[in-house]
Amino acid sequence: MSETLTPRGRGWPIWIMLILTLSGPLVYMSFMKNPWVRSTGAPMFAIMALGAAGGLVVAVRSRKRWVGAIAGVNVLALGFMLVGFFYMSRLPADPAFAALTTAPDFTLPDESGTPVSLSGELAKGPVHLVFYRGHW
Amino acid sequence: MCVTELVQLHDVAEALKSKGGRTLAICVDDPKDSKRVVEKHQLNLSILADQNHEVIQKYGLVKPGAPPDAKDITVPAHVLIDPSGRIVWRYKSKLVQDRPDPAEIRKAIDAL
Repeated sequence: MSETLTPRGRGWPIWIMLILTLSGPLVYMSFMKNPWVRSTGAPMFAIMALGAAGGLVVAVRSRKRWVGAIAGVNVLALGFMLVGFFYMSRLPADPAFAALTTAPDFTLPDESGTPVSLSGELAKGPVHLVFYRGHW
Repeated sequence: MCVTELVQLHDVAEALKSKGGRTLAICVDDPKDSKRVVEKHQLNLSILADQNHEVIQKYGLVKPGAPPDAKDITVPAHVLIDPSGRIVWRYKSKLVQDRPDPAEIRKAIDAL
């Protein structure tokens, strides 16, 4: 009985929550140069969680179906990002790398085609190897 | 995006140079592309081409079938080696987007 007397909340704030949720990945891309942002995605997930939770509150208060649908989109977007970030992007855990104590020697051409050997470089000083994914 | 990582290693590479050392990046791409990247970003490091995946296999860093073209590439990783050949610091990404903080690498170089 009391439920029918409760005034329905406004539906329009759901758009703010949608924009908030969708801005999460943009924030991530913009601040990717920061290693902490890049590795944890924390600011993105905080913003998206805020948008998803806020959307649910708006949906429950307004009790309108279309508002509920958009709140659902927010939650799905957050879920999609979580799966992509923490599950799809997992890398193989080859124990061989952790087991190395000395660095295996190799010879590879540098960008000018000159062969570079690890042992030859170590004869001159310490070496920092950076294995990276490519130029794209 | 991945070239950004190399650009951000500028100060780290300089610190290693001052200790008589050298920074070597390794990827499976064509060396012609590497030359373009080094020149465009004025990198103070060399990029070695592991086109046969020989080295990433030796180091246990093969990531099979990576997008966009399902080629095998490397798992992002860092190895700091002292002149005796001993690995004194290492980092391996657990997720594609993981990268070490350059400050942490710097600490390991300073401790050499």
